Amino acid sequence: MENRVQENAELSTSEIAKRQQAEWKAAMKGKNAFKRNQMIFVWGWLALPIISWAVFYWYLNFSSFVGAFQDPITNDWSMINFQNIWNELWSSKSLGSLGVGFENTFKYFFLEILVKYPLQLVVCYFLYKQIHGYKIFRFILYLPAILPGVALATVFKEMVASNGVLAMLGFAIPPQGLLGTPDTATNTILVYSAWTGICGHMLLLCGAMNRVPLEVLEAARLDGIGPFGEFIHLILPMIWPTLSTLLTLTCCSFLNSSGPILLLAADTYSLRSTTISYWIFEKVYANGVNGLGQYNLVSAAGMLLSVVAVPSVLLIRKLFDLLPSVEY
Amino acid sequence: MLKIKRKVNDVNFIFQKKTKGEMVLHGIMIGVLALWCFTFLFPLVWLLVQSFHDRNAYWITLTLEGKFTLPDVWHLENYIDAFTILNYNHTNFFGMLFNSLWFIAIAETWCLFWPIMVGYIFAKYNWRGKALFHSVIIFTLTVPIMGTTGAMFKLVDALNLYDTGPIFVIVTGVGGFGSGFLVYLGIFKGISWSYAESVFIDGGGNTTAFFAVMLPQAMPAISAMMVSSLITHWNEYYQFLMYLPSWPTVATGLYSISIQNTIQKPLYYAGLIISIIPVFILYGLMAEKMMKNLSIGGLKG
Repeated sequence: MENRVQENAELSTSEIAKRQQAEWKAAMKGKNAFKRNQMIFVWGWLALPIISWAVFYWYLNFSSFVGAFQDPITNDWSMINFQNIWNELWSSKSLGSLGVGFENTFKYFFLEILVKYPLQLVVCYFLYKQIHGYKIFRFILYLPAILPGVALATVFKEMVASNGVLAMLGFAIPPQGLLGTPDTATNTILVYSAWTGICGHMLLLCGAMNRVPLEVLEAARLDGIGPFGEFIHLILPMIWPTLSTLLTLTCCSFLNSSGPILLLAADTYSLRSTTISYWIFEKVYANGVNGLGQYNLVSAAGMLLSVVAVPSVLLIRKLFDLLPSVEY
Repeated sequence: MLKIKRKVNDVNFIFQKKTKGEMVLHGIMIGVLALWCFTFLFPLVWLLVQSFHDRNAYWITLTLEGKFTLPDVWHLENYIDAFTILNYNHTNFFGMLFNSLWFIAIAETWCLFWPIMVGYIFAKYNWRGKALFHSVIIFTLTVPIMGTTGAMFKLVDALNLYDTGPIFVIVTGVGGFGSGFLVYLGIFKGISWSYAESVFIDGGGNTTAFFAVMLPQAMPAISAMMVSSLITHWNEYYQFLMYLPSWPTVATGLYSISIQNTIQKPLYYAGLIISIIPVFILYGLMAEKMMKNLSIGGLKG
């Protein structure tokens, strides 16, 4: 440092300025090189995901939009897909129409909101309160999320068959079983969804409850709050950020609400048990024969459904944002 | 250590001090949950027992003795024969297992890498237009655009990806802007940038900083995600049913076999038990890690 001061003193002002400028340039060059390397890194690694996103999201949606207006045979511009959708909406129930799909989809949505969420919250609350054996309960209750759906569905099918466990317990089961009878198939799948749905958001809700500060609970305890009051006035408001996010995501996909129809009833009465998402699957899958799917019809249905869903979702998000959240 | 001990004591103090009413309530809840757990365990035990029945005489057993009998002779060979006899689309159980394994290997490395990298870049680097880019991603994640399955099918066909096995998974698996983006963004936002800066001071570049320092720092959180995604991938059947019919995985194959009328049920049940074992072991080993304070961020912004 001393040397530098001495050196500077010996130099003329213009020389000092020149040297400072050179140092600044070198620093900037280094900084620019650093910045340039960063940008090479960023765009180098983002390139492939962006190309994939452009093709499998943006082009896909554009192509779906165009397909909705194309005749499935001639590929000419046409409104035929929308006419067919209109007919589908009002066609006979036994044909597995889109109208039936709408009806069942709302059943699954309300089951999710009115049954599965409250059940999960209550169960998580008691697990959080560390009731005896809570670790074992938590382990077993999460099993449906872990086990292959086909295994659980197979066992359930056997249980509700005409000679299954329910029949042995004295329930009146129709000869074709609960899943094989059109009138009971959907309700049986709804029961299955509620039965296994306990683990849907269990990890996230339990995680949110575990982060509630103990001091708050302790203070409430001293004020003589009971378990019900604690759940309603303390736990629920404090896990609201997590709960509201989950509710928003559920509401965002309300038209996708469905049950495991393919696993449980595809071989029997899926036509009466269909939901919107299962209807879409059936039209595209076409019994596994490649090229026979009604792709443009599905695109038209998707477009109409999106027109309904997008404003609803934006409104729901706005409503949830209006509710105050607790910060801690 | 002391702090943790104190916290555990606090928890016990608060949770174990119960009123009479609470004790009754907890008792009722224990009964309800025990019953619920029983309804999950009983079918699995039933499945296990049925898988040992004589497969050739199973329908006679069903007719004469009903569905809830123990086998007279426990046919362990069902488990060996399941590997060769269970067959779908000219693929036996070994083939299905092989398909499941390559799918998991690609999904857990190649497909998982991209959302991690995209999350990292958005969490740690700045560039002009990043905020807008981020908003567009959030918009695409929350706005439900439906019915693209038909267009996807046409696109897969146009790109000659239909029924191409690993090629399909590799090409369609380059993600990064799906729901995983939010998770990895959150994970990397929680890791200090000073670790990377120390790499730069030592002369390392951005790639070294990511692979040598930042990725290992995020590994505990990423590994928890990997466990749950591994289980999801093992149970995946939809993608293979739709786009890769000649490459059935264990889940797809078992589903397709289940709808065949000629199926020998004990053999099929043995196949189901085999499909359960790996995920059950993994879950048993990693349950505590998976249950630990998993959280989700808000969607504002």
